[in-house]
Amino acid sequence: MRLRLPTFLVVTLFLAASGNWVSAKEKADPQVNSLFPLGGQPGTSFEVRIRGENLGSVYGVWFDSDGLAAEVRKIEKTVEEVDVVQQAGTTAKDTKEFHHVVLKLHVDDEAAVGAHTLRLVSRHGLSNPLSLLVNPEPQIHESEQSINSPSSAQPIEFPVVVNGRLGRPGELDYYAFEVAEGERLRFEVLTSTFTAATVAGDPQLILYEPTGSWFDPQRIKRLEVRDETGPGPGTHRWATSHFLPRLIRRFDRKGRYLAEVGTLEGQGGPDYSYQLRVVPAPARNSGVNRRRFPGEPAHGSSPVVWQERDFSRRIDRDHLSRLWSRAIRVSESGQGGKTAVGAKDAARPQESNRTPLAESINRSNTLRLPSPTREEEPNDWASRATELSIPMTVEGAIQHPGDVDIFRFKAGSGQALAFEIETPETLPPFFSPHLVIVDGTGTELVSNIYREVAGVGDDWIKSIKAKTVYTFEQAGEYFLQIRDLTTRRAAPHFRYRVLVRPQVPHVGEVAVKTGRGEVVDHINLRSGETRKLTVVTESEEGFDGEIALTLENLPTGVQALAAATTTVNPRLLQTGNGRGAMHKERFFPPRQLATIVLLAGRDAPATPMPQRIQLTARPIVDGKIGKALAVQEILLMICRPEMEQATEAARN
Amino acid sequence: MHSNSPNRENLVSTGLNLAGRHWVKGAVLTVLILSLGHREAGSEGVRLNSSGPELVSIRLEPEAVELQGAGATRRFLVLGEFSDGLQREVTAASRLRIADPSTARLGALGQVVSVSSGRTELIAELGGRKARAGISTVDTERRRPFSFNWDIGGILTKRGCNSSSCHGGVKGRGGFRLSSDATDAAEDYQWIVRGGGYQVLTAEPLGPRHSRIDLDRPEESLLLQKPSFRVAHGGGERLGVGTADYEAVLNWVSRGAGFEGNGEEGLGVERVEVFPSEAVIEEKGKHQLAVTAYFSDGRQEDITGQVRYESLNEEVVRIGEEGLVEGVGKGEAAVMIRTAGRAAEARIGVIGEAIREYPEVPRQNFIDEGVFEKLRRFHLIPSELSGDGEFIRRVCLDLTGTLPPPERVREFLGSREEDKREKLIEALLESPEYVDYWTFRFADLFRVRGHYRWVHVYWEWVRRSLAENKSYDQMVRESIAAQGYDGPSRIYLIDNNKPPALERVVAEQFRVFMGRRMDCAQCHNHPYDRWTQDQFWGLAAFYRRVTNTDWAFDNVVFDDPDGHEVNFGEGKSTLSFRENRHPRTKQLVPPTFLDGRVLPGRDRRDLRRELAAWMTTHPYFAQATVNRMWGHFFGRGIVDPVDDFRLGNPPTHPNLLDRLARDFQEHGYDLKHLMRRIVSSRTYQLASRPNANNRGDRLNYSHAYPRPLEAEVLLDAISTVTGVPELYKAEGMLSGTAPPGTRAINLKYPASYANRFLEVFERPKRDVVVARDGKVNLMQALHMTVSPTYNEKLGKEGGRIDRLLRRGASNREIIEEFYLAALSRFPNEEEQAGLERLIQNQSSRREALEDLLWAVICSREFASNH
Repeated sequence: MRLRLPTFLVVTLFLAASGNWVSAKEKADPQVNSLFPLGGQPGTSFEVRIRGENLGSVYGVWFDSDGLAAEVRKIEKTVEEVDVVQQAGTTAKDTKEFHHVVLKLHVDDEAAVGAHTLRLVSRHGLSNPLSLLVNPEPQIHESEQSINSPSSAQPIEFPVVVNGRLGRPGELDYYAFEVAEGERLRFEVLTSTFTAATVAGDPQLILYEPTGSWFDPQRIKRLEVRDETGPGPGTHRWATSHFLPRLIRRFDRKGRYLAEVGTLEGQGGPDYSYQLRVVPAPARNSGVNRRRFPGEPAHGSSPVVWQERDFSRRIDRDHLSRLWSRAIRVSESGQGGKTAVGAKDAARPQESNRTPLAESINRSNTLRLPSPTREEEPNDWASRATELSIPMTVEGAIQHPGDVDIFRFKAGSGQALAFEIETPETLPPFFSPHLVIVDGTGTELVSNIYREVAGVGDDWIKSIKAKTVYTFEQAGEYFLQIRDLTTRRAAPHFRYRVLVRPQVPHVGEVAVKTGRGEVVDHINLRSGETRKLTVVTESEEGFDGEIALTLENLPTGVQALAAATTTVNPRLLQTGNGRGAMHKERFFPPRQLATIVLLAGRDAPATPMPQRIQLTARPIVDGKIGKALAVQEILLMICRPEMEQATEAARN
Repeated sequence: MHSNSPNRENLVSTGLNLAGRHWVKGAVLTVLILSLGHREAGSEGVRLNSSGPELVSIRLEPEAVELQGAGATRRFLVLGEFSDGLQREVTAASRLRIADPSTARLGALGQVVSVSSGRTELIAELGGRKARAGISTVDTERRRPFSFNWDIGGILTKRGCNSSSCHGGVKGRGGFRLSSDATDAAEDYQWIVRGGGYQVLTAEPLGPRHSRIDLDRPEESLLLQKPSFRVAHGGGERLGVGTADYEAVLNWVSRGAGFEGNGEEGLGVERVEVFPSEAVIEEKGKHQLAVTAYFSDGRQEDITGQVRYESLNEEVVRIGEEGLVEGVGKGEAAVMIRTAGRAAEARIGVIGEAIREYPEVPRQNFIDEGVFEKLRRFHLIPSELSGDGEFIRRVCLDLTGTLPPPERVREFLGSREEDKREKLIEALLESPEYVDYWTFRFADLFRVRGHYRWVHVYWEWVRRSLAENKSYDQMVRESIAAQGYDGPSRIYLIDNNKPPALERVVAEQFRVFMGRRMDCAQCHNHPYDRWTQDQFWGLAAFYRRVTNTDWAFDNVVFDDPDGHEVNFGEGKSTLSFRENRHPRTKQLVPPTFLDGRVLPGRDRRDLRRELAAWMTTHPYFAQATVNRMWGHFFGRGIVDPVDDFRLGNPPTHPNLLDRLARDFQEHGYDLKHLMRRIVSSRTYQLASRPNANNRGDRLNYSHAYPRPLEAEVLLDAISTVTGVPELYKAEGMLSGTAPPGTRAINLKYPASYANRFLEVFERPKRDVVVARDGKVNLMQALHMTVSPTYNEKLGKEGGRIDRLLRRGASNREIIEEFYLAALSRFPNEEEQAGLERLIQNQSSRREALEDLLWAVICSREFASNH
């Protein structure tokens, strides 16, 4: 696939004549680090304290959903000693100014349970997001008294959510609870780490019984538990999963026990807020999704941008329709083999092997997948493989060590298929689904393992991918095998959902990104200021049309203009590692970059609250333009410098 | 007491000249007198000298033999029991004869050679005592077939030609290489007969092949010319012209230099045995060894004069070419006996004086049987049982790494319960401190280190295994065969987040779990042990498939049939995978167990699980484990170092080692059971103070050997005694702080915390197999003088001194408290009085107390477990 730059833009080309490329005044942007408490119960009002920087002019709160409201009660300023990492890697002491914004927050009775996004609005613009957790259980706060030792543990009753904070490095908080004989409880610790840049490390939860020891009658003895610790929502700042503890314990003896909350490496500080949730544990095999933590987004796992390469994305019966909505039909008639996909060559099935899907694509732009086929054990051998007709979703589980589930399907010569995997309950690294396609002789044709050279060029790394594509050279019967990467790990909750479908050339992820590749979710723009935005587009499954971009719903006085650029950040174009990449095309879509300049006129009025602007993409193939795709929503605030200055003056 | 000899002086000198060997501490002269005169001693008995012990009886060893085949031989020794309880070897002093010379005849000293089929007796007489041994001879027409390995390899071994310092070394010598001690006869034959120079990294010979034998002119064979020094030879003369060995080699060449003889099947040597395998002699005393080869066809052969002997400690024992041991200095030493492809060892104890009245020593279990029996044989008297204070401190530190608190010490010392020690052991084994300490110990052994989350899951696996008292074989199986994201799988990623090199993982796991060091065999056959390159790479094949995914830090370990990628080219065309290729032969090596059994193809689905199952059921596994644990509790292993089992490093108590291993196995590899067994023994509970008799003993557990505390345990002990906990701040990207009060043994990976004390006292980084030698260095001495750990803690507010002073404790009470907390004993009166005076004489009571506590925690008594 050749790369073409720049992507076609429908916005007017902007020449950088003004030279007014002011850098983002990021240091002046409001930044929130943490909040306490982390959340509350529907139908309650409570005070929330948010800690951050540049929050002196905060006057409002923005939520991503209804059912939550807040007002600013108080803003305090503190100067705190901080460790500053120097170039040599050593740390030195310095002081830094922080703000503490006190909110009165109300959660409606109808507010959805889960994580809601909260941002502070100030004269300097909009802050980064924090997660506010709404739990159905009664909420209490960590005691004002020290609860840092077993003897001073705070008594709690369940079900309960305790909002606490590990205020300093090495701190441990203890909670005491009474249980009846045979009681089965679930304990979870939730944090806001996934949104707070100042917090590192994973929380840790340990249960004890205060039985004492021969050495020390006050010593507490650790209890062994069923540990379902796993990846929580969001990722660490090192792009690794964020693990949250979940423990389940049946108490054989009634009595008093202790829960200890800390972090794995003894981190702590004013931003280390947490929730300890103690609830009766559901019975085994109750169908409760092990993967989901209460910190999952309240409104479903809809990502900020389009996502089709994450094991947690949902593959439902509308999946294909969603893909198709990002493609474009070239010909209604399907003449000349043009079967309504946006690619000109590879993904097109040949006439003689036209699949039902190809036919159906010609009939309609939407396609609802048939109900999933469930695996039927034993299906560990080709002779017992369940037959699939394409497209088809299969569901199953790797239930016993060494379990291999095999399905058979037919593919035509030159047929381009996509294989997508979802793990609804258990994510990698705990369940690592390994998908392999073999032909009738057992020869492997494709798998979902991607390899590339890494490190300093002295090691290979490989990873499993949630999606891979492959074009079959020969018509015939093939077998899809799915197993865990290991030969020994298995469990009923090692569930998978695999979709086998023809490739649909379509527009993939389109998003405004920073130079480090992070998705830009909000922009603060001063009147008279311009901001260059880099849009990264991905073309999936052979899509080789154009992608037209527009920014819509701009506030008064703000324009979005196509821009020339002299430099291209290669990092943004890079998918995977360049060296030694094996079949990269099966795992990574080609990327292109576009540049848009946002210009706030000098007279642009301030926006008292952020305005949602919409990045829209339209596929264009063979001169035909597709319908607009709302690919990304960005919160934009226009600030007036004189208002900021007035605020500064008032502060000083 | 009297001598029977009227002209003793004269006969003594004659005896010396005639015998020329074989002394039992000079006092055996009387015996020689008697034997030379062939006198029957009277019933009044025989004495060594006027004040020496009396010969009580003699016996022949072995008591009976069956000699199979023509010319079959066997060596007999005459052993005398003396009134001082010592058994002395008196063969040379005895008169030996065969009852029926037509059946068998006498050869070299004590050697019997079969003549014709039948039955007869060997009769030994000394000092009026008589002993008989039965001899039956069968198949006397059947000749032993020639064997290159046995007949020629044996000579090369005896002469040291194939020793590791000569042609048996890694590269051989002068281009000529032989397998060490003739362990690979086929290859040796090729190098001799076909010639060629040996190369380490390839099986191809260096340069053109020139045979080292000359069939046309056998005497001109290089194989004879070199060792007979007829041509220059770096090793000097090894095979004198005309010697029996020279003639044997010459004869072999003259007869065509065959590999096997007479078309018969190869000769199988099943084992080689030495008698005695354990002996006690006095300084300057002597003892003949008898070495016997046992063949697969039932034949026995006396090879006493045909093997190579080596004393492993010549300051204790010297040994001659004919197998005569001589005591040099008090102590214990092993003697190695090497012949073609086989080895054996004998342990020789050299004592100062035999003990006539050996005391009865109570025994708790089979450990005491094994230890005390040997002490008795070696005339070593064990120390007394340790006092309660000594015991409580020792067992608390050994089982929990924790000092007993003063109130518990008081309680224990004051208790009159007979079973209080057993109760204490049980309480400790069930304590959370036991889990803490052994998690720390096994985190060392399993090398818990790496990325913080990996450290956490790995450490948690170790902790949970111990908390649940998981059987050790299961724990090790989980480790060896680990897959996925589980704790034990992290061992395969701790070196740069990728699978370790095959050679590294083989060497490490074999050392840790089997107690053997195979490292050398990676590149060449082990020069000092039996391990071959083939064995090494056969084991390596089990690990070939190990690979991992790399997803930030959430890496998953799994076995890929292709293995891990190794080349770093571009694209699929250059992709290749790790192979298990023999570095010398360049052949792919299949998964092969130590005994040469190749894992059948049908069992190759999960290689490491197969290996784990094999390893944990192999006798080495239980042996190595109990030895490691023994080393922990006694300061030295029965094989020491604990992970260095090898031919040249035999166990001090082989039977005890076997019994312990069997007991461990029979009890489901239960670590707690093993520990309970050990600490319940009287051997473990002996006092550390030696008595006059056992002061020099460092091998036989006649008293407890003081052991330095591990760095982490010592730091915890200082914190406990001073009452001031240590603070640990992590280094690295997370920079966390361990919760206040965290003990050093509870740190998941101590080396990730900045702590000068732990550095100075050499906490391991766990980047290699951990071996704490406990050696003291100058830095530690300086650290005691100036470091915050030893100084600032003393006077800290809230610390022990501060609390005692606030409580208004008297000097007497404070001194007592210090002693109980640090040393688990009360001060004796002298200490108490002296220290009270010392405090009173100081202007500042607080400073005096700080000085006193400093002295206590700097003392050897505090810094060691004794």
